Amino acid sequence: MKKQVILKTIVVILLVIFAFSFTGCVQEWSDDYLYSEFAVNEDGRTITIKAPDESMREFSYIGVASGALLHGEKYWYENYVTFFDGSAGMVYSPSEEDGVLYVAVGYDVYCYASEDCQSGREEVEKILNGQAERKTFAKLSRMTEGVLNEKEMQSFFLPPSSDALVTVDVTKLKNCLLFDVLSYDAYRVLAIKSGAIFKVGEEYFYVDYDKLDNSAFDADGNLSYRKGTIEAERLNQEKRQLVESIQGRQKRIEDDYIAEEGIYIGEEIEEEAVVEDVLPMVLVLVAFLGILLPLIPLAIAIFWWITAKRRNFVLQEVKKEIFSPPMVVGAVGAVLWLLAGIAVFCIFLSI
Amino acid sequence: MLSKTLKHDLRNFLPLWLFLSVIALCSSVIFGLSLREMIFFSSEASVVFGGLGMTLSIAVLSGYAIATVVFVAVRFYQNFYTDEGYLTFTLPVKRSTLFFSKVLSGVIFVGASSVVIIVSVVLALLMVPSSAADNTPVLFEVIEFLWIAFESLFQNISDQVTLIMMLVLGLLIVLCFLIYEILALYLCITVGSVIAKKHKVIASILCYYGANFIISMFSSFTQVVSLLFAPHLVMVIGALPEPHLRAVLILVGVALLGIMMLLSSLIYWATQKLIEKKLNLP
Repeated sequence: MKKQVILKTIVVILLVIFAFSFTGCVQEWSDDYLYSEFAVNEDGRTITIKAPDESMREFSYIGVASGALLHGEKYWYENYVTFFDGSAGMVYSPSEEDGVLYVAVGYDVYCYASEDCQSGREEVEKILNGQAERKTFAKLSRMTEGVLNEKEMQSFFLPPSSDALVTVDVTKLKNCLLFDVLSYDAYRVLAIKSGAIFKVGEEYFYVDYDKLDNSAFDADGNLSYRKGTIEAERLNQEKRQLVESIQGRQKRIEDDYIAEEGIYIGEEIEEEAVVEDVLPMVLVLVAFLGILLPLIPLAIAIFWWITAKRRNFVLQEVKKEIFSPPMVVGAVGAVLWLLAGIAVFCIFLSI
Repeated sequence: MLSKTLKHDLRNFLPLWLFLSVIALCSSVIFGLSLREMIFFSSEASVVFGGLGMTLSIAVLSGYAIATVVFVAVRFYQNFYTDEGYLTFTLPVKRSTLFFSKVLSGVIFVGASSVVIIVSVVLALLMVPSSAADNTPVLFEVIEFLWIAFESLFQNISDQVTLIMMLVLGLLIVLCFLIYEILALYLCITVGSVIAKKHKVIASILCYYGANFIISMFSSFTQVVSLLFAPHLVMVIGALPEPHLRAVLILVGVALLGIMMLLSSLIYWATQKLIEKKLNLP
């Protein structure tokens, strides 16, 4: 008995020591791993990177954008920098050798460029000043992008005629967002919301955020739907057709990360093709759950009714049973289930 | 005769239920005051008393909900499967009417208890101001938050009429689920009382747990299947244009309502048949 107690005590002590030593290992590894390559100066305006060959490279601050990092191919340093105020940001770059760095802190992206990358600096400045020429239509919540070619984009962003500009009550735009319009850089990495397309009833509106003042946005930098009016462009027939055509040409973006090389690759998948791939499986599921299953109780009831006479049941009794209130309610439930299943099946079939 | 039996069933439990409901409503006042105390006064004593008050009121509200269901089940068991059963079944009323009356009274009491609990929570939240500077009850903020959460759940639906239709469908499904739960409880009590000659209560409880175990196994299976198919379904639903999406969401609600109606009626039918054909009184 005493032996067992001693043995158990030793096992528990060993387990505790093992757990503590494991925590220690992780802590040490994390510290080394995360902080070795980057240094930020006190005011956060310069980031210095130590390259693998020990050479140093300096990146100076350009500005901060309330935006997102797009799903194009980008390099992730797997480290983060800590600013003087304690906020930490993930460091990305269009490529490992490039002279532009993006540090993502929450929804803000801090932009830096090295002195030898003037073109990169100009490119980022354009974005921050609202002069970006490259734009795309995106549904950020569903990670999909609208596909318009260069020519279509140019025709969409042609200056509107004066009668197309209208004043819209923002409360009417709530829940009517069709696409965010993102402006992005030449590397297709940094993107900021520069506008949005809304569908209100049968009308389409394009709101250019660069033309609105700060009072139109909430504290998070998103368009505020609380009260007030804003200027919007009512889309003409040609522009409407372009927006409608996007709905059937969307791309789904899937993130893929290559751990060894620190590269993110946003794989673009044609939405239509993917839906077509999975549609048969979904149709089988809907047919099973929505058509076959509700048919079973109905079939049993009909079978019971038909065979009642042959099995010498009193037909009157069976009739009374089948048309009793609980049976009728059940049959109505099964029919509702079946009809809903058939309707969903038909809708999915029409995709 | 249904109105007479229903009146009898309701009168039987009404005084006790009213007493319990008043206690539940009083506990909501304690809940509101405790919450207010904990939020706006940061002294140690207010936190301790506020915490105690909240724990007590939550315990009372939970106890109230459980007590209602237990009492409904006990009344059903006593009326049908104990010595009282001899008296009940010698009444000049059809067994199906007696059973329907029990179902109706059960649904009325459990539904009314749910309403009392909602009213209690509303009362409690009416007593808490939204901030130290603003005396507007926090209730309005909670309602706004719930509506926003509901809207964001269906963020692709911009049509208010569809949202309201879905809300109504949801309430109907909840009502059907309530009826289904009470019927399932009655079925378990009936099966337990039919199969056991002695210890009927234990047999009923075992039946209830057995049924719950089977249902949980089935729901785990459906969860696994749903997880397997969820990404595909999300992708296909995501590709639907808004009018079709609205239609699919409403149709899924209708299908769920149909399933609940079918299950409830099957349980109802089975229980009624057992009461009519296999009654086993002591």
